[in-house]
Amino acid sequence: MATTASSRTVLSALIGLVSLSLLTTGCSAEAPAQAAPAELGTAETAVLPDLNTFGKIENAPLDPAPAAKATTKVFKVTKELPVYDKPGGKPFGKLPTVQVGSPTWVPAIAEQGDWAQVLLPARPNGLAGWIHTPGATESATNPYTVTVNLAGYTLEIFKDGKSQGTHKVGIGKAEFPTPKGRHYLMASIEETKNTYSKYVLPLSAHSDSHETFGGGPGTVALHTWPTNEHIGKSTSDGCIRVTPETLTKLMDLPLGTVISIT
Amino acid sequence: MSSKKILGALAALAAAGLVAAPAASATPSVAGEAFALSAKGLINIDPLPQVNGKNGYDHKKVVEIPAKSVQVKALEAEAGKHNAKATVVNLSVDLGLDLLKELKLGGSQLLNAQVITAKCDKTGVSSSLVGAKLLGKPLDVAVPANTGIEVPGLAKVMLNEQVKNKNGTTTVNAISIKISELQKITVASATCAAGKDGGDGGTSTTKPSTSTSKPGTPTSTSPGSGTSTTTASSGGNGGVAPRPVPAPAQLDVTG
Repeated sequence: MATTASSRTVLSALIGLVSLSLLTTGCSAEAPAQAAPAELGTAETAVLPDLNTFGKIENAPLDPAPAAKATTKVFKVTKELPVYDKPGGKPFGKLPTVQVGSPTWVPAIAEQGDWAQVLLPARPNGLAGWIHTPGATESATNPYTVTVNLAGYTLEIFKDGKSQGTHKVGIGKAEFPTPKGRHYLMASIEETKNTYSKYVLPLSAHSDSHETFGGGPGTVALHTWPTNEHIGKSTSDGCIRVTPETLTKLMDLPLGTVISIT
Repeated sequence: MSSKKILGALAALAAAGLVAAPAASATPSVAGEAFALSAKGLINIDPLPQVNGKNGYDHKKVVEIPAKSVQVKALEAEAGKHNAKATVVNLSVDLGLDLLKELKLGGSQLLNAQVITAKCDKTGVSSSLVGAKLLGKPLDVAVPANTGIEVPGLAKVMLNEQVKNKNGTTTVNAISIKISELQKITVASATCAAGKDGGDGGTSTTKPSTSTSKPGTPTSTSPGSGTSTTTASSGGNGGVAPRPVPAPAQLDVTG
């Protein structure tokens, strides 16, 4: 009997261990989600490419659901921040604190514990990665979203899911189309050189047909044009041209506002 | 190249006034400024790309170099009112084996590196060298300010060179190489008005202190001395995202 009881105990313990082992194995993909990543050394950080509008990341993770709704959370990067391919995964770039003079804000498309999956401002379009948020970010709630319907030449601003108005826009010509996808408002610029628009709102998006443009990295932006004759037409090299009245409304939107182009 | 030819080249350079002046001798403005690479002498490259933040945020990246003996994947520089940064990726500088041998500098490439960075803001300056080799000899990733290397022969090399300029700004050059009077090369240079505490309406951002700090170099954290960021408010944890304030800057977008 003693032997049986002992066997049972051993068996139970064994089952327990196996269960625990399975549990551990089963969680191995998720467990690091709660853990802070190991701090990177000077060299490890230095070799990570800057995630800015001039950057291009090869073999990068992409937005898994470009048509889905993002969260309402945006993160301001307050300290140079590594970005990982998954929670607890490998770093593939770093977010600086400044993007062309504006503070770095990125929208969260998903969250897992202290990790947030965010859209990123470098190529390719749809680049997304995971950041470990404590210590290097500030979070805020952003009630705004924007949709752009290319076929309809319209841009619609939403607050808390309610339409705040629809605006006519101009878009990229057939050979240099405005890129579709889930992008975001990257910066707010008072232009110091180009004169076609006093203010320019660069997006995270890039032209897929212009690798570079005018010396820049082919960044797609929202801006005005000296006349409104391009509204409702496909005449730009990828940018979205809006009227001065529309731009005034867009300039109120927080950095990190998701701009879905369909 | 023979000794006579080298001497000839030297004389020609001196005559042409091309003998290199220190990189920091140019008078920087009070805004940040930076460049990724410059060379004077046998190889000539005007500071590239050269940026200056005095009229707004300036950020440029180039992937082509007007010199066959220099290979690079990317040169990037950015500067705002109070910050500057220069980055060089996958650099190799080749003066030619014959010349290196003639100068008794060995038979390797003059310099190659994976990533070289120099940066500064109001809290300080720093630089780093990753995968860097000078004449085939590996260099440390981070070294104290003004670490000099005397290469037997004619070369003087300064790593993490830090120069205080007359107008109160500080320049950091990740590597500065001078080969006699024949060649001057500066890789990754950033200039900022450093060390002024008190802030000027900056946001609540804090200085990154982990990536390129080095032993022996203080990286003070001056309260309120943010980057050149501009927002109506910092947003704060859990608050409502702020309306952005347009930052003077220049970016060529797709029209």
